[in-house]
Amino acid sequence: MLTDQEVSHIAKLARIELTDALRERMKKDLSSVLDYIAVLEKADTTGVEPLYQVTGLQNRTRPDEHRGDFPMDTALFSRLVEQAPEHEGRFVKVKAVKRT
Amino acid sequence: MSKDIGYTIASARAAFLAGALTPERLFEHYQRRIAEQNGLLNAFRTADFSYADLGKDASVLAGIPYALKDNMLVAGTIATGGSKILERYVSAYDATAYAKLRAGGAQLLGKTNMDEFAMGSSGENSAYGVVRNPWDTDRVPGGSSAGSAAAVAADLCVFSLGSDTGGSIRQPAALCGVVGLKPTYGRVSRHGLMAMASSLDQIGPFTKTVEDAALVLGAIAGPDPLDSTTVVRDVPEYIAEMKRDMTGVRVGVPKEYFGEGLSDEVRARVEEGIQLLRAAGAEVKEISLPHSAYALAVYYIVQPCEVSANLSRYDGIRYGYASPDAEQLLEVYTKSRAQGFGPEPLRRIMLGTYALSAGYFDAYYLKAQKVRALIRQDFDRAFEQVDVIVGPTSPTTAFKIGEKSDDPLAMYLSDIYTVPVNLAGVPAISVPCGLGAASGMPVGFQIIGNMFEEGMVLRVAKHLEDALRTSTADTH
Repeated sequence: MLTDQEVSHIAKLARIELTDALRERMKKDLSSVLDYIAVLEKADTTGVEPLYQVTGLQNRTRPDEHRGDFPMDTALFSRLVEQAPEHEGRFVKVKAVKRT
Repeated sequence: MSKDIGYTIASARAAFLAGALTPERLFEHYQRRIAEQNGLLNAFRTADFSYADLGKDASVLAGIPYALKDNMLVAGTIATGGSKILERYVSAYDATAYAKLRAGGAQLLGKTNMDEFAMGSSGENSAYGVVRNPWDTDRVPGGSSAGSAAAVAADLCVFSLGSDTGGSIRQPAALCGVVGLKPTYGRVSRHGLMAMASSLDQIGPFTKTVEDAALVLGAIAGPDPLDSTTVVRDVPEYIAEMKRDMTGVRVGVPKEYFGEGLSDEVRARVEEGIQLLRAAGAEVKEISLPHSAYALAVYYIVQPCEVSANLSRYDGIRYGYASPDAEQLLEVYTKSRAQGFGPEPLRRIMLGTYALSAGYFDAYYLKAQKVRALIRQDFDRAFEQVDVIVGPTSPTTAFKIGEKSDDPLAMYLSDIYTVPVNLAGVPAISVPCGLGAASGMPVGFQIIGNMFEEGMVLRVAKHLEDALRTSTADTH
C-alpha cells in the first residue's frame, strides 16, 4: 500500500492538487493496480532488450524546406490566442509566478 | 431485439447508382435517426454537421454518412476527447484520417461520445454522460470508442472511426455486435488524433460488414508526412485480398486465450466460429503465446507512462479549462488539472508519474518494455507457423452499467485479449460471432494478423462472416 506521503509526492510531480477524498481514492486504486503489476517480477528478462517501438523505424527525416502546412494568418493567430483561458491582445496571459 | 443493420457502404452505393436514393436524402435519413434515438443512447456528443458538396476526387465512400470519435480534429469545430478540460476547445486543423474521408466525399454526421481521453472499457467515463448499448440500454457498449460502436450498431450512421490503444475499437465492436478493425501501428496516420499512448494508439473503422471495413481502411491508410510514425509502404487492394479463398490458410488458436476468466457463453460461440473456419478449408492448430499472462501488467505500466507525458499539455494556460480559484501560476496547473480531469485520467497520470519517477523507472517502465519485447517475440514465433491467430475479443459479453465502475482492475481485465495486440503493434479485427446463450448479447471473434497483414485478417474475417450468415440461415 502506498503511503499518504507517497501519493502526495506523486500528485506534486503530476501537478495535480488532491483533495483528501481524492487522495484516499488514489491510494486505494493505485495500490491495487501496483499489486497486480508485481506479476512482472516473475518474468525472466535476462539479456532482453526493451521494445520501445514496434515498426523498427529510426529517425525519419525530410528535406529542410518550408512545407507551409499551417499558413499563419491574422485570423488563425487570433483563433489560437483566443483559445487561451486568459488572453489580452496578441498575448496569452498567465498568473504571477510568485505571490507579491 | 432483432437487428436490421440498415445501410452498408455497398448497399448505399447500389441505391445511389440505381437512382433510388441520393446522398442528400441518405444524410437526412441519418440525421432523423440520430434525432430520434440519441437522447437515449448518447452515442453522439454532437451531430450538427451539414451536408457538404462532394469533392472532385469522390471515391467509393462518396455520399456515405459517417461519424468520428470526438478525439479526432475537424478544423473550426469543438473536439472534447470526452473531457471537461476540452469542453470549449476548437480544433485548429484537420486530422489526416478525416481529411482523407472528406476528400473522398464521405459525409460527416457528427462526433461520437467516448471515455475521457480514450481511457475506459465501458463508455461510462465520459464527461458528457454514459453511452448505452443499443442491444440492451441497461448495459455498457464497451469503450473507449463507445459512441462510435453504438452509433453503427443502432444504424445511426453507415460507419464510424474510432481509436484503439488497448482494445478501444475491438472491445466495443464485440460488445455492440459490429465489425471493428485495429490496423497495424503505423498503417493509418495519427495526425490530428489526440495523443494518449503514442506507441500504442491507432485509428480504425467500425462497420456493419467486413467488406465495409476493407473499404474504409483502404481510404484512410497510407503514409503521412505529418505523422512520422506512419510507415512508407503501399496500401494493398484490401477488397481483392479479402475475397481470396481459405485454402491453405493456417489458423492458430492460442491456448492462453481460453483459460480462466473466459465466460462459458463466449467460449462456446468462439469455438463454433473456429469450427466454421475449419469447415471453410482453414488448417487449425493450437499454438502458444507464453507471455500473454504478463500483457495486461505491461500495458498498465507503458500506457500510463505515455499518458502522464501526453496529458501534461493540459495545463489551463494555452487552451482548455482553467480553474477560477487559482491565484498564482502553479495553482493554475494543479487546480485546473484536478478539476478538469475525471477520475480515470487522474488515476493513469498518477500511475505513470509514479512509474517514471526517480528510483522506480528501472523496476517499472524498463522492466515492462523488456517484457513487451517478449510478448512481441511470442507473436513473431507464432506467425512462423500460422497466418492468423484467433480467439475471443473480450472475456464476457456487455456487462451492466455500473457493474465494474468502482473497481478499476476488474474493468481493465475486459481488455485482456486485446492489449497484447497493441503492445506488439500487429493488426486485429473483431467480427460478430452470434449471441451468448446466457446473456443474449453479441459475442466478438478476434482475428490477429502479422505486421501489415490486414489483407489476411480481412480475408479470414470475411469467410467467418459468410459462414455465420449461412449457418444462421440454416437454423432459423
